[in-house]
Amino acid sequence: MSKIRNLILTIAAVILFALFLEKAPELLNGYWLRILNLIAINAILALSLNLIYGITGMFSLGHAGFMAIGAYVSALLVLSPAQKQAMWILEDIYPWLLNVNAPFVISLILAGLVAAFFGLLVALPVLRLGGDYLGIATLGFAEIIRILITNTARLTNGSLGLKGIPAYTTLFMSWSCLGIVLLCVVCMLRSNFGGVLRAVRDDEVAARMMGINTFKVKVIAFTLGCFGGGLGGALMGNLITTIDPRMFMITQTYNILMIIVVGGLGSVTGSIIGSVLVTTMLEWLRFVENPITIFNINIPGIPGMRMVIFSLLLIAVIIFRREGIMGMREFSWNIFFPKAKPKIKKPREKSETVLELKDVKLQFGGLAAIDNLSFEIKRGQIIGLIGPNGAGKTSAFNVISGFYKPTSGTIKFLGKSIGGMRPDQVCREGMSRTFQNIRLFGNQTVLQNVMIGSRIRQKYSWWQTLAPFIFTDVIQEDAAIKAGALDLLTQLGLEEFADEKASALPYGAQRRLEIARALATRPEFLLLDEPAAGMNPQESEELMNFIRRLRDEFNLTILLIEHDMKVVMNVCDYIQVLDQGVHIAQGTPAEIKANPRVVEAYLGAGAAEGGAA
Amino acid sequence: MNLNIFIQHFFNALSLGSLYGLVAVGYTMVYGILRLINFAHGDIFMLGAYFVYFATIVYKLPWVIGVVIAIIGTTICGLLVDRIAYKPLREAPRISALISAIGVSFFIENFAVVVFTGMPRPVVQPEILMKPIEFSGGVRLIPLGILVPVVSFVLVGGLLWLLYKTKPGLAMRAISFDIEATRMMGVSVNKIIALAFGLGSALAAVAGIMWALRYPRVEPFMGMTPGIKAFIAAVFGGIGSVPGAMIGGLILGFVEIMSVAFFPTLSGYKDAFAFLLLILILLFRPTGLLGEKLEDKI
Amino acid sequence: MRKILAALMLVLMLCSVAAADDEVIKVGVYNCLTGQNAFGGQLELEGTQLAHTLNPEIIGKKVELIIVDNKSDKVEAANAVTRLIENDKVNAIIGTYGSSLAMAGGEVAEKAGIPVIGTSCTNPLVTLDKKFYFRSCFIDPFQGAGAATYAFKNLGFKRAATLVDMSNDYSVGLGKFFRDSFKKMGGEIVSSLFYQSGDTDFTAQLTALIDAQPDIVFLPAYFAEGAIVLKQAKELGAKFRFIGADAMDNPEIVTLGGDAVEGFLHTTFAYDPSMPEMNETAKKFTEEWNKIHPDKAPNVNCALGYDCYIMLKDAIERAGSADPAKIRDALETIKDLPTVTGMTTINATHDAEKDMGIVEIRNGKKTFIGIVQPEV
Repeated sequence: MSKIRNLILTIAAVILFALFLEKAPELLNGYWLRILNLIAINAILALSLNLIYGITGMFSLGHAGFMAIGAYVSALLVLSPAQKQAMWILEDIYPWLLNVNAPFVISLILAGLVAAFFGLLVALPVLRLGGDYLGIATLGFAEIIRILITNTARLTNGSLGLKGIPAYTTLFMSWSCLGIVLLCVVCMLRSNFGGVLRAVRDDEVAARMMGINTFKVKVIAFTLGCFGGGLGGALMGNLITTIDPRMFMITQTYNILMIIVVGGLGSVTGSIIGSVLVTTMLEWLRFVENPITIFNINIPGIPGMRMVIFSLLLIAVIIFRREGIMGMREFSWNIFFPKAKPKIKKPREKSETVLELKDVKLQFGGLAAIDNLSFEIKRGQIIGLIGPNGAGKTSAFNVISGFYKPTSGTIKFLGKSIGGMRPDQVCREGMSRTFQNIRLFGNQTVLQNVMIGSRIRQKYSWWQTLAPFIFTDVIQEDAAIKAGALDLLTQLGLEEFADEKASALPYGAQRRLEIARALATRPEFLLLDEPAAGMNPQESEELMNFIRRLRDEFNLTILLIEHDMKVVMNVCDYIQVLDQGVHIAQGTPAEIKANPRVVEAYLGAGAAEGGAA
Repeated sequence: MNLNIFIQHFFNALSLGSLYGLVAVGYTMVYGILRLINFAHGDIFMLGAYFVYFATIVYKLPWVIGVVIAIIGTTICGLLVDRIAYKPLREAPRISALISAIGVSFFIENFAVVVFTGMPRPVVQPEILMKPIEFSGGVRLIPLGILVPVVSFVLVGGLLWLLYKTKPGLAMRAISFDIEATRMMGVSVNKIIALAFGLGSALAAVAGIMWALRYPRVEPFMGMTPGIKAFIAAVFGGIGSVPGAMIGGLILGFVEIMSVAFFPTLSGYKDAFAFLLLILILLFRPTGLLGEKLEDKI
Repeated sequence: MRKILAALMLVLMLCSVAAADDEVIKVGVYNCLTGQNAFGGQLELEGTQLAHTLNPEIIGKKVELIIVDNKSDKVEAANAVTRLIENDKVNAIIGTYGSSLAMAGGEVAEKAGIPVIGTSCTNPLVTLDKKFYFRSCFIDPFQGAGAATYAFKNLGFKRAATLVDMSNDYSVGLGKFFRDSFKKMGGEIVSSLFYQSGDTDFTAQLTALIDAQPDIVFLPAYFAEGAIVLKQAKELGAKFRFIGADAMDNPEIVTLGGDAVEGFLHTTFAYDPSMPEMNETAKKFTEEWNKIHPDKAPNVNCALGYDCYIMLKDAIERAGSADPAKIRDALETIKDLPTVTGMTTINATHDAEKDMGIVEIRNGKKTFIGIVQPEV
């Protein structure tokens, strides 16, 4: 119901705005029309950088470079041969380039595609870098692009730049481009793939355990962002009608970065609001540089004052409202209406040896974290992996789940060797895990967290999410996944939190949510890393029942690390004991309790009774 | 190219490289402790140069006094920047502080345009530092060309001593490792960070003074290019590592000079070589030459 | 804090409301008052302002100057011109330093049909295919050829090299025109090196130049960079001479370069305060300038800023109207107008045809040593 209402409202708003743009040339003077154009272009640029940085969490300082590529591609395509002939006064233009020509719209698409192609070239090597290093590498690429443009005069006319580019960027063009970009981005972000993007930002490790090939996702987001950068650059060139390499310096990237931070990193609405504010603010502040009169006192205009005030405002915004205007929130018509509640639906899935480790060894430098570990796990068992601190339990988990590659030895999962597979591949084989320190996608809702876990079972491709109204399976699959996720939440007693932010949940619920998210990948085998950590005795009592229930209801085999011996002894069918990377014992809880080596490992030589509480 | 020309290039590169290194050390210092890319570092550097200009040209003070005033003045400016624009953001996500740094950078640059105007100003070079020493074969060195590397290496040495042999240094390293745990240890974290920032600004001032001596011209945007170059140098060496920054600076200096020396026809691509090398280094050593290895904590 | 800011903004907003007047000729000035080119733009603005102070009325109407900064940035330049035309409804525009900025502003003015007179935008492309853009300066090919002629014919040098700012269209253009014309006269170009705007260390290029042993190096740099280049050349013991172009024409070059600029030559517009024989306009300009700025000598940028206003005044007077289209037509027919930088004639491509001067730094002073007639 509210969906249809919101759709009608959106269409109405779009029509109203289109009417406004239609009438704008009569209502506003050229100056304001130019600003309106700039707002749309800045919004496209901001959205594209936000997709890279705000949504997917890749710190990129290279946007100006991709803008430059787009601007040049488009300009070279729309300029007439005569204009080119006249402009290349220092070097001769390449003959083939002289007669290359295309209509504006085609040039825009090509501008985006060429920028995206370069983006892909950059992404493949450098997206392995993290954080600030990625920032500096992308900045480096942008500078290289600029230097290349400056030096390849036969192609680009070098530092002379291009001029007389037809002013094809009309209000209609710039705003319809923004409309299309906005529609695609919003659709993508609303689909489960959007959740995946945010998951990569919030916690890359956990995302990989959800079966997501995070590198591929990052490359996709980066390349799409570069497409936007190229498109924005092309529109900019055709608006200003002249371009040269110095237009695309690092300050250009700073400007876009400012827009998205002021608007709110990760918020589409924020990017739009940010570009409106920053663009108009910069223009409006011009008056401080003109002579002004206050109470009959003449104050001469001070050049530079505008940027001084602007930078102070920017610092003030960051200090007093650091998350930006929108934070990570989005605009929704729902803020004008009381909230409606969603409904619920149902779930289910099914060899003898689930996991087989043989002589698995993991070395860091000269240190063996795990030394020749071998054991088997049968279907339907709950196995405990115990040992004192530093015994190598978590390392064993990391080897099994694909985060570390074993130095030697074989790991077979459901009869298939998985040693050396990436976590996302391991996940696709039917294994999932939780983490010692909970790793949720904290900025997303409980429901979204679970839906991301379901992404591996969806058939649609990322690019279809750009236009779900054409590829309707996106909508259908997302709806099915959502129903499944709600079901799962109900089963685990989390349905009341479905629309809350994951980070806002109480501790115990966060633990359960992490398990729910793992279950969403439909695993046959689940690894639980210290599920009882931080729980009181009553809570751990409940946890024991919960783990048994998990095995029965979801047909799971479970391997768990736990320090709480009460939990281990009560819930586990069989126990493996590690000490300093060495497999020292295995057996039923009763056998382990009686094993002197285990007692010694836990309490040191000479101690009598085992079983810490 | 004959040997003498090569030797000349070598000394040119040493002088340029150690200057880059000196600016980069200030960058890395602040980064190592706060994990903040202080985009305003280049502008604080510019302020240092302006202080020298005002002291020596406008007020005609002797050089030495000018240098002292510049260091003190710049340090105070740096501390003010930290107090106003960065301290409120200590607990905020790093991007906030980064944007604040960009804001500060814009502010200082434009404030300088308003106050000092855009006109480049001269700087007095002390006679004694400029008298060329001629070697056989036409290689010429000015004492300043030797002073710059010497000052840089001495400062880096002093900084390493401070970081590894003194209590405040220990506290700084502790903060870079775990700020909360350091607080628990009863260390006055804010004071130590202020100290680090003051130190970073003082280093920027020294670099600014050296720069103004070597390239005797001050203008509001003089910090922009050295700022970005030094940032690259710091990343080359592994940002956060003091010796790394110095090595990074030297590498950058040598790449820039030698690319022109060996490929004069490609001198237009000079900066591209530097960036290309940067990306290559990062691909093979994702955290720079001397940067600490980052392990995913799972 | 926030309240104070809000209050401040409000006050500023109230003040921004300006008054309008019909019996006024509005002249827009867009120039680089901040950013990379601020040093040149500010001087030109001061020249224009001086001309305005001396001639506050044209054809009996009060002239109002509306000054807008283009921040040395293209997008801003286009915005600035749009603002002057749309918001302030100017009759004509003066500006700007920097050819790329003039190109950005020129497109806007062209479409709106408002005439613009460029101060020192010397790239041939600025007025190419433009009906409404004019300039008070000559263009790069002319000047490059001038420097080459002087080096080859007057000084008798046979081996030349160029050191060019790759990222600056002005510098790249001049370098190319110098090389072409020097070779055509029979000289040899022994080396052609580059740097990027913002560089401060030129020792690598200079050492390579010393290796190539030219007689003279053409350095089409901006003065702030040029002075540093000359200083470093002296430190390295370079024996060759340097010749530059009009962007080196700034009184500050001596303060910046000290004794390293001794003997440096550059082409420029035919005006310098050191000129022995000045025309009437130049004399008046120099006198009045010195009254207002006793501590600052005028240079060609100030003169060109002044000349633009004089050209505009002449055009309006001859048109007898401040109608933009009529001003444009009158600008096209400017012939032998006495301006500070000599007699100005606007040619078919809207460039000013005027004499080219040569200046040498002698005994720490800019000395005007004559006029050169470029060949080729």
